Amino acid sequence: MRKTIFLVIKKVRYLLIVALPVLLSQCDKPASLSAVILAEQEVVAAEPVKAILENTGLFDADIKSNNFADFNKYDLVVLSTSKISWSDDVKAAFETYLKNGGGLVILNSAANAFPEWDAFAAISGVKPLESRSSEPFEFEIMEQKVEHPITKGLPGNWLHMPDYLLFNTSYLPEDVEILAAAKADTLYGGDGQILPVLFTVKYGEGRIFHTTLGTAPASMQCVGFIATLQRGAEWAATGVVSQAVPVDFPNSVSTHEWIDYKPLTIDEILNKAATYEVGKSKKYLTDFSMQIKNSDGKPETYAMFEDKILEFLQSDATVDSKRYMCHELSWMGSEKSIAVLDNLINNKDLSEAASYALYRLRM
Amino acid sequence: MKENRRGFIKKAAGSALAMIAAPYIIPGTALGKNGALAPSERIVFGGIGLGSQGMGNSRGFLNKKEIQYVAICDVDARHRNNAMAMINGTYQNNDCRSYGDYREMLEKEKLDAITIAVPDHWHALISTAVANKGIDIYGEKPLARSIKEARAIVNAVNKNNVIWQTGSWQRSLANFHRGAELVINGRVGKVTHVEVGLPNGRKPIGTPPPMPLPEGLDWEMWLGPAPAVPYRGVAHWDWRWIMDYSGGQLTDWAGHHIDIAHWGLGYDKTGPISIEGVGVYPREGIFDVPIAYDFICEYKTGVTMRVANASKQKHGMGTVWHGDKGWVHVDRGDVIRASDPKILEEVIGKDEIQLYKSTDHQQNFIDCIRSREETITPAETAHRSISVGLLGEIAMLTGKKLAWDPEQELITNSAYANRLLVRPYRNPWKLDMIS
Repeated sequence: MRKTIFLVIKKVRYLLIVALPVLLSQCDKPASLSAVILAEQEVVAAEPVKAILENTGLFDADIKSNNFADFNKYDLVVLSTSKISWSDDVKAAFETYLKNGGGLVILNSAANAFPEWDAFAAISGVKPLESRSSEPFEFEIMEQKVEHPITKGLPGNWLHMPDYLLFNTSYLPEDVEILAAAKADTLYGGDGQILPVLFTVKYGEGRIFHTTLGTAPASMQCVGFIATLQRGAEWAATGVVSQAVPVDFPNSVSTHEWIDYKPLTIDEILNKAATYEVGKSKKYLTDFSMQIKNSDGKPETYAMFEDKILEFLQSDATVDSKRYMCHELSWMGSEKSIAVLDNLINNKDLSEAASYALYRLRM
Repeated sequence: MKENRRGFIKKAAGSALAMIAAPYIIPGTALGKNGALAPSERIVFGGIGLGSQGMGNSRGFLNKKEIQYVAICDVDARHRNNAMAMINGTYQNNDCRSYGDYREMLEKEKLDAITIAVPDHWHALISTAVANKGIDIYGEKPLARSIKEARAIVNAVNKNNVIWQTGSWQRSLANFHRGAELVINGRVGKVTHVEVGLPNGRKPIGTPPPMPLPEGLDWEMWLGPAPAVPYRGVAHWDWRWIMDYSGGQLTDWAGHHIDIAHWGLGYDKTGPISIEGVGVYPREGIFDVPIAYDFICEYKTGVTMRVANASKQKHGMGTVWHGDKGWVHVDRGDVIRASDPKILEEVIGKDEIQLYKSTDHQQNFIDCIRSREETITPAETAHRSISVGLLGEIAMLTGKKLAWDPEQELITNSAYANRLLVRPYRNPWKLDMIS
């Protein structure tokens, strides 16, 4: 039933796509997209993919294995494994699904699922060769196409968490649109080539998003992997991307992880920041600063952050983390902070940092 | 008013009086060196900060026969030893005196001029103290770590009538001078947009643990007004990747290519009215300045200027002025290019704007010490150049578009961002703001 309604919306969408983007995004809100993740018998490995899709708030995802063929019930099919074998009937049903405008996401090694099936090369945009990959390493993703809905608004270059870089395929350039690439560094067993890592393929009316990232299980926590998968999934299912780019998307020098495939709340960030000591990781401190920097900058927003910092300064957080927070407070705090900081002047560990903040707040 | 040595030099220059007055401590052993002035006529120099830049500057000045270094100061004994060896070796004596605290040097020495090359967080305290002694200054760019500190230096320099030369030496090179002079005389038409391409930042090194101090380094004095932190193996040179001491490549290079951009625009005494942009900041590690930066300034004339990593600019490193009739690009390595080669053949007429001409940045300082004329890069000019970099930094740190009043030197749309115009000092350091 849901599928039927959605198909109607989809048809209307094509008419509205240029003229009425606002109305369109309103149409999107109540509709939930359905996805099926095709996995091995061991479905555990597909759980992160399910979480990543569902954390968008756009998808409901089922995990199925083996000869599942009821593709038309779904807006999106995700191939998450190469260990899959289909009968000719299933293959035919799959081709029909795509030709009629179905959405597909191909995750890393799933590109190797059907080496003998010619149509699959056209679907995945690659031709599998013998199985090869680099050692896991932290590599830089280099954006190739900035105007595609999937990559629009992402930083040009960003660091991906340690992962295998697959180079066991040859690409079919006439069929694919490369969104991002990475260098298979020879230091880590790569061949020195620049390889597409995110790309799209057109097959009939079907939209296919292919990501080679996420082979190393921990790398699936990379915000870059997660956000591009989420955006690629929405694009494959609908042709548009309505999701905002996360403020903590990795940049060219810093990876960023979402442990549970979703961002930490401000309170969770502060809890983690509270254990900081000089010489240890300060990433949660910088994450907190980034939240302030990326906020709307309204006085009431800064006041919300200020309240949290004042609470932090009176908690049992470490001295080093409190010093950092005093520096943050120095520019975005208000008169409300002065009494708390005045109290810290007599604390020998925090006196200097409190003076720093008070100097600016009393300017 | 007491007659200080500067005043004396000015009067004595080219006068027979110079021959009869020799009240200062210039070693007799320096007499009679080939081509040298008599010691009594030499300008008495001191040096504060003798790391890589300070040694480079001093090496240049040591080639000038009109000056003599008599004292140096550095918080690191190794730097002091290097500098003493170089200076005494040049003069073939053992007369140069050495200090670990600039305040002691200023108290004990009678100096005409001081070359300063210290980390940015120290610029304002030292420069104002030296200016307040009536001593002329060759100071490094960027003028200061914050806009208020830079203004304090300008005020101290003006109030004390001291000569200031900034280490923005590109102004003394022919290609930069020529490019700026073509632009300010309209050879690219009306300027609409300027591109400034600067280097990439250094990649983060992670978070080293606290470690023992190297022998001879006075860490407390090295930190000075900056927050107290344990030594973690980063001091000389690499201070420029830490925000407590520097703004990174952006503020390091603002005094070069933004400075040149302003020169060609005639904006040496003004600044932008809005600034907006983004920086790429490392999430981890002690190096916390932006690795990449990209911001746009708008001036009240409507001219816009984009400051970004060279890799993001069409013409790469350097300064490109775009006008309605073409463009001119200048960069290091004698680069001067134009949209049409004919622009580069243009002659600037006698009735047109002749930009200040210097072909030797250090000699220009020495000449101005004698003439009491303004140098090619006075303090106000350096202040306006670094203000652009520092406003870019504030826009990136706050993530907001800033409205700037270049007359009042205030951010007019954010009381929050205004607080970042200063960097608070650690006790007991205090900066005399002088208004």
